Amino acid sequence: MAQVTFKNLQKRYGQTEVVKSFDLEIKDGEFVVLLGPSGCGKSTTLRMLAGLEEISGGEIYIGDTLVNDLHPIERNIAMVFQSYALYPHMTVRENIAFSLKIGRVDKALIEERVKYASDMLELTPLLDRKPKALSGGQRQRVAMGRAMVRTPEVFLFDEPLSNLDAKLRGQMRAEIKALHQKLGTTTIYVTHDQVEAMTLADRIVILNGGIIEQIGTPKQIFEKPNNRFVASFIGSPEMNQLSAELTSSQQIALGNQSISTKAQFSCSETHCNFGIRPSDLHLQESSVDAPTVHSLEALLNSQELLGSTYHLHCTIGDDRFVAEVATSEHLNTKEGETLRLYFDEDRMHLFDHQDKVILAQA
Amino acid sequence: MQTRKLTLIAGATMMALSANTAWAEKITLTVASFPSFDAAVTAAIPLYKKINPDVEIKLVSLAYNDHHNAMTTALATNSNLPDVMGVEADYMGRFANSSGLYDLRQAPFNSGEIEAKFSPFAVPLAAGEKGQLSGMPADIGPGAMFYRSDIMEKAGVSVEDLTKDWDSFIEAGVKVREVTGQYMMSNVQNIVDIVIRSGIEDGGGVYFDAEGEILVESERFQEAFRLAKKAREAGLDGKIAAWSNEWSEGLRRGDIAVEFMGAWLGGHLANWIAPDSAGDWATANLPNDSWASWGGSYYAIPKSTEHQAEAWEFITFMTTNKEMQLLAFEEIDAFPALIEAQDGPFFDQPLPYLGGQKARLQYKEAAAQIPAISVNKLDPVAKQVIADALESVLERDVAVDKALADAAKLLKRRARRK
Amino acid sequence: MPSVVANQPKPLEMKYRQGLLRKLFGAKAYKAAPYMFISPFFILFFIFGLFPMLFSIYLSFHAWDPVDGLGAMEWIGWENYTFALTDEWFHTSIYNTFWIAFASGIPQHVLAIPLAYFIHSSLTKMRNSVVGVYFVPYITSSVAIALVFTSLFSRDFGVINLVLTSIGNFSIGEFQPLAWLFPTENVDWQRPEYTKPMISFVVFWRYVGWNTVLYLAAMQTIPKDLYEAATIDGARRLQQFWYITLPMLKPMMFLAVTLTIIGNLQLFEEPFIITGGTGGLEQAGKTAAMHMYITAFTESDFGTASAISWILFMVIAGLTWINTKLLGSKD
Repeated sequence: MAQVTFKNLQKRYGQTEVVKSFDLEIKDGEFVVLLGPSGCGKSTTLRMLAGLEEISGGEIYIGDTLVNDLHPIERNIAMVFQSYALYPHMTVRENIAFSLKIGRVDKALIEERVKYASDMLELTPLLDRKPKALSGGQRQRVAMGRAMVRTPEVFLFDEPLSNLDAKLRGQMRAEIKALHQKLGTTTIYVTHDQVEAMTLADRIVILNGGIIEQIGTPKQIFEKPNNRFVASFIGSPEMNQLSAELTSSQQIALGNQSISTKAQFSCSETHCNFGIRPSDLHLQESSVDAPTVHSLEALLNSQELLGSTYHLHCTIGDDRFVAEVATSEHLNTKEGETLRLYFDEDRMHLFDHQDKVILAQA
Repeated sequence: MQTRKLTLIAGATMMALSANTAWAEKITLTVASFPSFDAAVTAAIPLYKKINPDVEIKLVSLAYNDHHNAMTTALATNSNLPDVMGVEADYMGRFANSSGLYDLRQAPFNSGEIEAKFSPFAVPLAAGEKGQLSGMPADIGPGAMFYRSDIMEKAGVSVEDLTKDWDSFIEAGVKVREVTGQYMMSNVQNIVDIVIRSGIEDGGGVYFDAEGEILVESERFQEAFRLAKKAREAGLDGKIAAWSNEWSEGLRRGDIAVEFMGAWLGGHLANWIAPDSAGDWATANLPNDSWASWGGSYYAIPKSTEHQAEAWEFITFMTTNKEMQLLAFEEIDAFPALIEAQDGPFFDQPLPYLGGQKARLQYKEAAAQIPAISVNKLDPVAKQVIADALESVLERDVAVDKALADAAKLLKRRARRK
Repeated sequence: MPSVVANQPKPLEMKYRQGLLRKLFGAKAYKAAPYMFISPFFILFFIFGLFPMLFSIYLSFHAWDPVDGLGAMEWIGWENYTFALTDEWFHTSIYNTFWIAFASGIPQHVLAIPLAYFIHSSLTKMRNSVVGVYFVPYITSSVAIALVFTSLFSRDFGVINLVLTSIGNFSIGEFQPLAWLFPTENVDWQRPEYTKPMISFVVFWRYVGWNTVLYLAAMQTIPKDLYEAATIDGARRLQQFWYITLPMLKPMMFLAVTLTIIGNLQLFEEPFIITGGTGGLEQAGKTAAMHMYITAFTESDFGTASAISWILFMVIAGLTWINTKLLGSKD
């Protein structure tokens, strides 16, 4: 077991910079998820850690060892691939035992390890099958078994669930979580799926265009996004963004409406963006359990019933946004009518002209 | 002479008339041949046109092997046959027994009347087992010995030493090898090829007699193998196959002092093999008064033809017209099979390449001396069997008797349908 | 919302072109058209493929000299088969065929697989040109190959002898240190003992590129992440080749080896041109296919030749079956 440290890690393909200055310290036993849209450099970072990609600049340490020039096997890591990369000509047993066989581990010990892994992953009845005779979830478990049988210091997962259907994905997510809790191995997990990130991670690293946008626990990331990118990337439906003017340190103008805030905000430019998550908007003031409640008037364009909630598609001025309200709260407002939406001041976000968050001053 | 030719043509024309009522109609005669024999046909067309303006000659020419394979399959299926077929001597033995070709000894051809006009050995080579004649000889390849006179002089060897008998030839070879280091011959196979063909009675065969009995254990073969072995042991031959790179290069450089082959080799030597050695080469008859022929070409008429009269007319023109025969000799070095054409000023000309020898007279003598050997359709198989037997004697030290006995056994097996 | 409906454009009148053939021939003939279009293949196949094949079965039970025409066929039952099977020359030719098939076939694959692996894993820009160079012999005319190789292997004037003897005659003072291994005099490659190796070499040289291309194509379908997984599992390049590449190539090995078996047992062109159609001294280079050809066209025995071709067919079928057992996939 070990901590992993990235120092100013860079990756370039010719002129193209894929990863620009990646700095991160991962604690021993931590589960870190690298999250970002495709092409953000998350997989490349993971592959550099695994030793599958050359490092263009910077350093990677596993434990105290600089691993930049070490062969993958010397880094003592294990990796689960998106495609699982199971060896199609080998049985489940041979797949799981392959790394041990290559490492010339004693046969009896191999047998023991394979049994341990297959028992834990419920693969024992399938040991003599070939991968093509397995279901997607079973293949996924074989891939994990292959990774854990070596008891590596670091587990790497590269989008391991994206080939599964939604139901199985939820199930496997839980299994990965359980496995991590059982083994306590440092784990780095790459995904573009925020649900996986939110549910699995101790800490999430949000990447965009080769740059770390934010590092934090799922709660921090969700509630206190550093910038508009993180704000809109996390959460579904995504956070509403309305253009606003910071007319004074406690006055926000949204179209012809204005909000007088309790907290003070300061910014060099008056133009800013007002952000609020759909689920933080309410139709009744009483639903907002907070000391400072504000409200906004909006025109209702359309509404969708999703069962327990309604999605209300509204406009203020030219800005469109969505409110997600409980069905019980719904007031039978018709399309084309105006309604009033209430929210907690602590739940609103302000972003400056550079999309950075403007924090309330104490 | 002139009158004879005229009567001949008149006769042929009469036949054409009787066979074809539509006199004025143009007839196209398809002639299938192969290089360079086809050149004779090309040369003949303008001449023939003068005599017979109503017959168009259409020449279809394929490479040597392709032509004979095509003719084999054509005969097999009796389709796509030409009106006149050119056949090389090696294939004539097989084609001679074909029921798809006319027996030219029968009416209306009656070749018996003109067979005496040809070198006597040439006709039997086209004769089948039942006494039929399937081809008319156009050209022949009387055998000759070509030797480097300069090398012989240096080694102190006379022509007499070379030609007296084979043992004398081998002794001469040893001298040549000692003095000059040159090979006496390309391959001892040549000795065998000549010796097994010497001393055959007229009507006898090389490998089989008229009754199909196998002759490979006879005295001829014993002697041939003995001589070949003696020559090989004396290191006289370069173990070189004819027509290989080594062969032409060896002749060009003078590394090979003697070569036995058809008279036409003189032309090849002068034209492309060793054009720079003019005057160094000379020719003589084969040693030990042996007489043999190398190759030759024939014309046959498939039974499927609709123009048998014209076809016969064309064949007789190609084979019995003296001018035509001489023309072919001058054009493509095809030695005339027609005795009548083996005469005249052309034959008296000295050949500068051969040091001014009147070599054509020598070839003519050889042509007259070559025995009339009958052919068997299994001759090609026998040739292969004997080649294998010789190899075992020369290189594997198998006794001659045993090798020939084995050869006879093999041949008997393969001649199972005789 | 009636205003929206009123604004919708009128439905368009579409004039699709009718198929030309359907218009010309009507619906019924149109349905027959696919059969018409495929018929040239079947007609040609029946005439040039199926008929000769069946005819050769028929022929193999007859004594027939083709120059005598079709009427000369004579039924003789299995005699052609018993003759061929007990024939010394046929035995020799089968022995030669197998000798050459193994001596040229095994190195073909043993070399082609690593070569393809090298090209696949180490070359990027040069890959296509290198593959092209290896493929050239396969598409070169056999006559050109014959010319080149008979010149190379020429006894007195060939480059190969020149190189070998200059190594053999390399001397330090009086001493020739390499004379025990290399010839000091020109080697006569026409000798029967060299005929088969020489043919094998030419066959090997001619088809190794073809097999390389086959294996290369198969390697390119192996997912890259298998190698990455193996790398992480600790397998070095040689181990990856052994544990990943080779097993994954099995289906292609099956195909390539089958093609080699079929091709090598039917070997004709190369020995024919190298030995000038004779089979070489002591028939050392005469393959079964050549023997068949010679039986047909030199011995004029089409019946036995047909029987030989069917015996050869049975041998090839048997070997292919064994190959299926050995390399073919079970599932």
